[in-house]
Amino acid sequence: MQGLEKLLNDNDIEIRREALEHLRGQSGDFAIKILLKAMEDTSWRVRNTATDILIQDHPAESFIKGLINLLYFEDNAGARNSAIDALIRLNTKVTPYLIEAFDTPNKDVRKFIIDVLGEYKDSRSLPLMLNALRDEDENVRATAIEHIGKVRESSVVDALIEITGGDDIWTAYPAADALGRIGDRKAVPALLKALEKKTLRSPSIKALSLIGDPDTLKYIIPFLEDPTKTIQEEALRATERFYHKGTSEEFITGEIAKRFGDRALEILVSHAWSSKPKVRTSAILILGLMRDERAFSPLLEISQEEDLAEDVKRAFVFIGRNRPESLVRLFDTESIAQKRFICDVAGRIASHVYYPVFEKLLQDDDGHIRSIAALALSRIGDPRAIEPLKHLLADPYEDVQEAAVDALSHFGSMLAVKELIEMLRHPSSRIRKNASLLLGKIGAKEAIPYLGFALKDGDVNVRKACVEAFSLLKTEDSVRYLIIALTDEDTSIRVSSALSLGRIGGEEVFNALTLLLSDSDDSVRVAVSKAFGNLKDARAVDHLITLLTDKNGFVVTTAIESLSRLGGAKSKSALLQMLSADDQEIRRTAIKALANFEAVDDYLIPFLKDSDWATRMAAVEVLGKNAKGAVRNELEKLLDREEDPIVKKAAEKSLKNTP
Amino acid sequence: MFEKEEIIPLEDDVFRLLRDFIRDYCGIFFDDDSKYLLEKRLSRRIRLLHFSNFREYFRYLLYHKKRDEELSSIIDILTVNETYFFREQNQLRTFSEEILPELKETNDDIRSVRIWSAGCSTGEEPYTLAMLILEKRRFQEWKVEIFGSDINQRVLQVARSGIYRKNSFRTTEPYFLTKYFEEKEGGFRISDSVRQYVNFSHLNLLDPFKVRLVGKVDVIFCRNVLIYFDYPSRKKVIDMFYERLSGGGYLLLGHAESLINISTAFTLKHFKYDMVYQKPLRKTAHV
Repeated sequence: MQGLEKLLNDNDIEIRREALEHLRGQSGDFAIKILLKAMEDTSWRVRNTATDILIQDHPAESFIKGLINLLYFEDNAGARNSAIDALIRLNTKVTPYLIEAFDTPNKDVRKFIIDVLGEYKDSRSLPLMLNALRDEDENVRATAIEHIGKVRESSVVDALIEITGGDDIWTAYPAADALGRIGDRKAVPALLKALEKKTLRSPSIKALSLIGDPDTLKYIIPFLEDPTKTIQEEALRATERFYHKGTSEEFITGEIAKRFGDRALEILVSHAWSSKPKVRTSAILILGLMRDERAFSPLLEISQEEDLAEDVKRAFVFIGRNRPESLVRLFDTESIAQKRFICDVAGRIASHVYYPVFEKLLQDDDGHIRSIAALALSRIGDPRAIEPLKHLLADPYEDVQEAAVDALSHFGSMLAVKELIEMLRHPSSRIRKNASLLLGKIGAKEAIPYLGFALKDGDVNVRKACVEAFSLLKTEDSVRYLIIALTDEDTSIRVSSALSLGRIGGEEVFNALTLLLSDSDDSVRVAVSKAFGNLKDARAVDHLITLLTDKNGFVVTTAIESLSRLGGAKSKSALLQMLSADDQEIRRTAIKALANFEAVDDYLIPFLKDSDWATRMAAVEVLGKNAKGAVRNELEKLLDREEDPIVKKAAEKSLKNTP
Repeated sequence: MFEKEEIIPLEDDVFRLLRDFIRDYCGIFFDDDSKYLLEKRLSRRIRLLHFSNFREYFRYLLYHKKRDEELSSIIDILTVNETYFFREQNQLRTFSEEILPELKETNDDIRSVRIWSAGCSTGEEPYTLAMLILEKRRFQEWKVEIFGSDINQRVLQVARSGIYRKNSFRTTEPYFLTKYFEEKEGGFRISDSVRQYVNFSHLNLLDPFKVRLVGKVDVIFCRNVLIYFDYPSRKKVIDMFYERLSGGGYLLLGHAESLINISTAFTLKHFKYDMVYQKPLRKTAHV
């Protein structure tokens, strides 16, 4: 046995772990003592082996005290964690021991015990949990609340109701909180009663809103003007919760109006300027629900704050939907930012009332406003907008043109395809470009020959638009034209045609793409690699293998990923060779690509020791998919030495997910 | 507009690769909280380049010959280039009323003053400094050189054009607007009398070779730039500033920035309106 103890002090983790294996099947106090000692080891694997042997070979009562004792090891987090894991594995058979052990001055140990008992969900521990609600330590109390909140037993609710009605504020407060988390309507009367006690007001308001019974809202609304600001804020947040839990806005606003009348606006606006973001969000939402147009002005002031802009927009939409004409006067502002904001809101409401305003705004000086107006008109869906929208196809700004194309495409069948085809011969290249895009977007197959002609256009942007149109139309003829575009002198056109062809597929596509394998531009070769991966044509394997020796890393990594998608022995063999590439990203990509192949573990295991964290991460991800046998062992070893938190987390997750 | 544009997800490991890559390139560091910002702001860029995910974008930055251009766009997209004329009045008063008179004395033998506005964005800062020097008539016969530098090529184009809109004049007295600007092209164009003092250059503060081109300077303004850098990069830049400054020269940082835990090489000098870092004076002639 002395020899065994010596082995357990060896520097080599594997020797220490194997020494423990000798204790398998051995009963008696000595073995337990050694195993408990081994749970203090620095190595996760040694501790894990000790835990396994303890639980499998020994009755719980013979080592439970030693296990609980490990919870006191403040300077050895590993020992504590292993003890907690072991206790969780032992489950309810050790509940009585833990209940007894809870009587300790050590607050950390009390917290751990609550955590473990919380995992058991054993009704025998409920009195202790409830008792823990008044623990002197905040962490212990919070942990108890958390676990009690998870237990949805009637007996728990009854106990909590009783505590809430009691005189002990220290336990009544968390009990009210826990009642809210559990969400049982049985608690409503007790919580309403608790509202009368100032000290319990805050958790009771919150709990009632978590339960969300609309009939209780009338008791909460008055607290919006409680003398205490925190209570006001809790009531405001609670009101928002009621809304999210399904209480209708009419009911909520009715209750607010009933109580405060005209003063409601003032109360809500003051909270909209609170220093607490969540309070502001609630106030803005409720201002929207109130549909009071007097809120426009204060809300507009807040609208320029990036974090709240979206909330304010929603509030405006709410108010505006009710009476769209109320927004019209707001378009008339000096502030560009506010004008954009109002346009955006009105565009979401998309009422016919705004048609004349938006039509006029198509000529606004500000490009953003022209764009928003175009999209808004398409939402309104009034075909009168088609003509004025066409003018924007020649707008000097790309974004505005893009919005005009999008907007017009919404009118689809209402557009005169003939006229758009005519536009392909327009003197302005902008018009030609946008007409091409539009024809593609509306699926005008009859325009294909004309778009084919436009593919000869001298302006590169027009040709790009044609390629995009062909990739949307996806007919046989489109493919033919896309193949022609593969020979365009402009790189971006060759790239987008190659990618489109890869998505469409077909016999002639494969042959056409092979012509670009030696394209002088890196981006084109990347696109071809990617397209081959999409085609899933086994003939592409040899071509992709050739690209593995490309001078550009982006081409190589894309080829690797495509080979992985195609699969097969030839691909696997080529990918295995890429594991010895000098370039880190290429190695990482090869590792990940091998996830789709069988029998690669032995090749990947060495990368668990790579000096680059991202390479180790890649290996963990692939090997961790089935962490059994030797792989599991290697991942456990990695945990002992790994210092990178992301890699460590990934390894732990893999081990946890594979039983 | 209306619906938020679709955001391409950025995985944790790719975020880290991307973040480290940007940091090594120009010192700008995005902490974990910035992941959403990168996701949100770069998704459109990824779509424009026909990429399907962030990993491909990372490879583009890693291998593409136009990566410097792309990195410049990233900086443009991710950093706030918000600036305006006469920003941080107290600091400018210190510069105008205390540092400039001091330079008038110390550099009287060479009759030259050289100022570097590092991270000058759209140029309001270097032009402001030029106006303040012009207001001090005593520098009329001097050789005044102000270098505005930024890593972002787009903002430099704006700076060179010298045309500004209303937003840039939020704290500008009408006196300056009337005297040094003329209305043009829907904005205000800075006068040539100011432009003559200012030169702009595209400069990465972490590029040890390029920064030498600036030469020795008397004052460096680097306000609200280092907030984007991680600690090691910040230290590198501050050490480089120390190197570039003449003995007795001044370094002016943003009002919320300091050299605490970064450098002890500078001394903190208390002026009437502000506190400014100074490179200790060696007993050598002006270089």
